[in-house]
Amino acid sequence: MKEPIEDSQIMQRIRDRDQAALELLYDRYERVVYSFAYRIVNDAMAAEEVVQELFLRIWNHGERYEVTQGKLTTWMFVITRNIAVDMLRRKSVRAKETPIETEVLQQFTDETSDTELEVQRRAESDEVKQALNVLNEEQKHVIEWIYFEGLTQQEVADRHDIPLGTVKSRVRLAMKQLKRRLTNAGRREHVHE
Amino acid sequence: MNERANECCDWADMYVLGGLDAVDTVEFEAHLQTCVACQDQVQELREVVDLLPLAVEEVQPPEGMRTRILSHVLNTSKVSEDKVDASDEEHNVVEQTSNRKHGEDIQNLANEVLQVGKEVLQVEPTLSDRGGMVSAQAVETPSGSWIPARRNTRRSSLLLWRTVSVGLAAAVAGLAIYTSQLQRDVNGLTNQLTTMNQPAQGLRTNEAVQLNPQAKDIVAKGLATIVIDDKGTHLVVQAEKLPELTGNQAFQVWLIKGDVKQNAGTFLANSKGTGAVYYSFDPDEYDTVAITLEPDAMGQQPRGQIILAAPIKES
Repeated sequence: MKEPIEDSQIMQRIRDRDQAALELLYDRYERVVYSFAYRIVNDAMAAEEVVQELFLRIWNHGERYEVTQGKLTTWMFVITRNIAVDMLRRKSVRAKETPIETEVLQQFTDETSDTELEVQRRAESDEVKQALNVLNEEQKHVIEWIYFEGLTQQEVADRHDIPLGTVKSRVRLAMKQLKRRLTNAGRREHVHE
Repeated sequence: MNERANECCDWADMYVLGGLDAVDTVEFEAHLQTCVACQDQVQELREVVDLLPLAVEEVQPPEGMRTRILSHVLNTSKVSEDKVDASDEEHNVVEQTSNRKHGEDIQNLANEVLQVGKEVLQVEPTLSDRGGMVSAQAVETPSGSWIPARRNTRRSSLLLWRTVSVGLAAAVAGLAIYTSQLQRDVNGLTNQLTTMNQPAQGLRTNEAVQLNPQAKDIVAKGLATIVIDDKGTHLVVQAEKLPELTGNQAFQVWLIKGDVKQNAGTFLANSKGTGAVYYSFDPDEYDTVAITLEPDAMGQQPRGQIILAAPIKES
């Protein structure tokens, strides 16, 4: 069975201006980064613009990614969020309020053929969805407003009329819950509590 | 100072999730350089936040997006490389050109554009009639975006006509505006030629913001002024009553937007604690300006304490 090419190898080829490598990377992550961008900007054209800017940066500044920084997807998601949130702020277009539990319960309709990677991605996805589902409504909301809508803590407090201290404590509790379920360190802490 | 550091230690969750504003982000990242506990915490929290994108509902990308994006990315990088060469040549040419020659060139260009505009205006009604889709709404639809029309096979012919019609209408409108602008430029240059021996006019001050101290023990005051001249937009940062520097310490100015921090200059204050920096920049790319006290002048990213900061207001 043919082994999938490692992301780090693809990135090295992209740094060497290998167009086929860029296409390979695009095909591998098009759907997942587009979905993430769409989740933030809530508009198909804008999401496409975000993905284009992401791949422009990868093609022109691929050297900024180093394997020591962690997974390539992590780097790509950070850039994607930055571009998307920046676009939201520039255009002052806020994503429509979609209750996060709807997102959590919805099933994938994926058709990609990169089976091994896809199986792994789905397993991770299910785990994250389950972890998010455990949060209470208030915690889900602050994650939504800050992470997916790009608001600062002060903007959340002002816009939703919540004391700043409450915003902070909700985030802290939400992160603690997620950490407990999604990281080895969190699970260890949980066992010893 | 320890109280402030302890306060920063509580920011790790909000920092990783992306909820700190630009000024707090800079301060936290400076704190992070020296706080091992926060470094560990941030690393663990990042593992969590990095997984959040996987929880979103997957969405089918639009038809033809792959072709549009890859061709744009590959073509844009080629064009931008060519542009660098061309702009270098342009720069040399411009430097050798006198103001009078420049004025004549503008006049000639204006005449050419006027001629082209007239020709396009003669052609456009025919196309509009054939396409039958040129309307105010149709012109607004592309929103000046780079994204080309969708390639739906059933509607490709109609869409092509729409695109051509809309594009030409936009081009005509653009040429008309451009021509009008050029005419004003020509008039302006003519006036400029008559006053060439007069002293240069001052810079236009577009905006000035007060820089505020970011720590209790800081008494420094600062002012960031954005000025516009014929060479672009510039930031002039002045500060006084700055803390005394020791060893290799230096003050660095940063332009910030999100997690992007651009070094806008380094300065050493004089004996009265006063210093200034001048930097050319694109105002759309940043929303905050900050001055930090750095261990040396070599940093590419902020490492030291943030002294003064302020949001750059949108004009």
